[in-house]
Amino acid sequence: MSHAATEPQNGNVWLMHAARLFALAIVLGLLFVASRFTPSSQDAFSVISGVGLLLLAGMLMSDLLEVIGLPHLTGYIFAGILTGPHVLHFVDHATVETLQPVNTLALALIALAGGAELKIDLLKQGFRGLAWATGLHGTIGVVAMTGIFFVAASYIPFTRELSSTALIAVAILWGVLSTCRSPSATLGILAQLRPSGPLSRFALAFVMASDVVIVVMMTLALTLVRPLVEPSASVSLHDLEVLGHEILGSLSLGTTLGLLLATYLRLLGGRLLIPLIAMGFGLSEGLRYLRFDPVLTFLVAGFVVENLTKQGPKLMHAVEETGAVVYVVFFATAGAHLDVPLLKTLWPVALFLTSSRALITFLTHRLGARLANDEPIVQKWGWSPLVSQAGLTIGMGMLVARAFPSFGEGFRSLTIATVAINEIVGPVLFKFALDHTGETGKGTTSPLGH
Amino acid sequence: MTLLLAVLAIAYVGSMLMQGRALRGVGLPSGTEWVLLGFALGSHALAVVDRDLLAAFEPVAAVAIGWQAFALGARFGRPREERTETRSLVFGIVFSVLACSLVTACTWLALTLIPTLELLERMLISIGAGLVSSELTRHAVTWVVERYAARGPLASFVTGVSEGSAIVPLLGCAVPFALVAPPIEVAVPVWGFALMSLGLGVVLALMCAALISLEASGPRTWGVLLGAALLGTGISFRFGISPLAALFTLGLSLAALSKKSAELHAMLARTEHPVRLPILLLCGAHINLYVDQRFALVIAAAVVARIVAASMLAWPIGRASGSTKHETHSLIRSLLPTGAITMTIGLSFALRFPERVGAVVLLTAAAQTIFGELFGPLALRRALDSAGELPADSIPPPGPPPRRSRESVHGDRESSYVEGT
Repeated sequence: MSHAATEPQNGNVWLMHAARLFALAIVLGLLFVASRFTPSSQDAFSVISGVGLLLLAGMLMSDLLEVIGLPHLTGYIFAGILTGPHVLHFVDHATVETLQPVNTLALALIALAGGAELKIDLLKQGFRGLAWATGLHGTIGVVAMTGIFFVAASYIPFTRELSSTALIAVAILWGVLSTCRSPSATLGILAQLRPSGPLSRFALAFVMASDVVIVVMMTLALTLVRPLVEPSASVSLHDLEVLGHEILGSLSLGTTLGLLLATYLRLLGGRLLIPLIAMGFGLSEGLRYLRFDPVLTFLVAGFVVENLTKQGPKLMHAVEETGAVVYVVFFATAGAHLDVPLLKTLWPVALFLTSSRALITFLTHRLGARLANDEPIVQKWGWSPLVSQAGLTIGMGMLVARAFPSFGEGFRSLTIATVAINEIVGPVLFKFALDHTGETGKGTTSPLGH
Repeated sequence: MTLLLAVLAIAYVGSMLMQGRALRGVGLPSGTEWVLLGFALGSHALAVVDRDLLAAFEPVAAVAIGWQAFALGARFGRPREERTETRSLVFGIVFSVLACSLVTACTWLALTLIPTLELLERMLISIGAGLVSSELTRHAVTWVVERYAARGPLASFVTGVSEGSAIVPLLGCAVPFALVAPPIEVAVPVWGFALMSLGLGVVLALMCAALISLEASGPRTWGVLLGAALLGTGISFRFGISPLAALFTLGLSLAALSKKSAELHAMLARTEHPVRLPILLLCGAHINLYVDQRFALVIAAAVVARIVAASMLAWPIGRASGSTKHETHSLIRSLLPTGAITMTIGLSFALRFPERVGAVVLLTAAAQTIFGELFGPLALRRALDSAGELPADSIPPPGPPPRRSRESVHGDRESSYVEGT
């Protein structure tokens, strides 16, 4: 997703933007004509034009919004919101649902790239900081957000009829959910800006590690709070057994997959398009069937290719080429998926919770970074990549909804509303921090210094 | 679904390998074996791939044929110094128009044998048969020229004729689709729908050209091309117009409008082969033999009409090529091979007209391709041999053909593909 736009030679920036506006007008105009003059249909061919629209509109919008300093990812999301079912309605709900496989592919690519970016040496260097940050966010962060949710409960519609013990359970779940970050948003920003420095290294390592931590924490939370919601239930160690199976299985399969990928890359070079797509679609489904975590599996596979073989650069190149297109559709679909009417209803409480989360994240991070004696840049700005939330958080919200149907739907709606805000604000904050610290615009080296 | 996916993946990998050095010259010239494999797997033979599965794959097939047409269109806009000789392109267009007209007329007459046909069906079948009979596939021509290391005016000219023959059927698809375009909220005449196909391609090309001029080559250019192709395919299907005509026009116009046409050509050429064999496979799987037996006569009429068209133009083509010693009767059969474009058009008919119209047109396409495969390549070799354009030691080696130098007049295009990969 590197920004490959030709740099203006003679300050002819406005001509470039005019061309992009012209192109965007053509794209939207064509879809307007198609939707205005043809009977509305929800067939597969609407999906085809929908993907084309999201791809083009996402790319164009990202270029246009870059003028005011917004990251590409935000442009993709705005394109999705604009063309999606709640604004222009060029892409309808059914199309957005049909595009779920693209999300699966994108998440697989993101995890592969994330794993490949994690180098053992650099992880060792930053281990102290990572350990402090992970520990404090997982304890202070969770407790603080649990308390804030509990305090705000009277303003949250779905909690009004809950018993006090059930309310505590919901608050704990919300506290855990608040520690969820967005690997996709972080990698999206890093891939666009190609920054180099301690902040980007910290962001990458922490967000990727937190992906594993959140899975464990949420499973534990779901197991432990069940007796609070359902008094007749008891804590079952079976869930932990399942979790252990999931994590160990994912690690094993990820290692095997990484070695297979490395062998393929060594024998056949960089022709990875089909294997990547096959892995993204087919293997992800297979892993789900086996109850393994696809994100963790692909993360480990990327890590293995990067750290145990010499094929890392080839993998990164192939993932970046494929991802350049897939990420646009992924984030634009996420934008189209945003429930704007729901956000209109829940925005006051969602805004309060997201602001509180941002504040808690900021304070917890400052404390952890000071205790770990991190570099000054990380101490000052390391909280900025931790604000974004996206698909992983929504996935966790759905997990809660399935586990506790009594309040699940309300919980899920609030999750979506807060993610909508964090998804838009988070990437902007992170880009601002990277720009401010001077880590952007330093050539084409990757975040971990390849 | 897994099996079909696996076979499609094999076809894709096979295409990639055959595009590169490893397996070039292996397989049949027009890729007929993939059509037959698809037919064998399809619902009307072994039924490994049933109708529901094929229906589920329709969007994939639609995108693939659209992309194929896009890549073919972009070929026509190559920079002047690499472009095929104009005269041979013109002969290709003339051959294509003649073959299309003759076959359309003959099948129209032959369809009188089936009085139950409605007028519109009769028109669609005859035009469809004409369109799938008007291509001279460059794959077969290039296969022969490369395999036997042919060099000379006749080989060069026939290659050019095969290039030119693609434009008529692909643009001509706009007409039959326009005849049955579903009603929309404003009254649009048939010719309006036909022009809409072309207009859609031109508008998208304008947009692409504007965007590509701003981008360095790379993933974002791919994003623009893919986005435009998907948008064009989706909108074509929504309006019921021909995606092939729209996407071919997009490629053609983009190559003409963009300053980076050579770069675009190189990018798209890399994708053309990997898409071709999976399309042929899907074509085969869609073939339905269970149509009224009287249609066999119609298909036979189409095959005969194409032979007549080839007979009428073989002598002028031989003369125009500048070759003085060729055998005209061999050249007639050399003009018979059809292939990827023919089958792609047949598949687009089968997707748009799932009843007997689509079935008959696709069957005609398959018949022309198999018939051409049987006689065309051998005859072309003989024609080139009689014209003295084959080297004395041109007995085909058992493995892939030797690597050709870039100076080779006839191998230029394919050699440049190899470099491009």
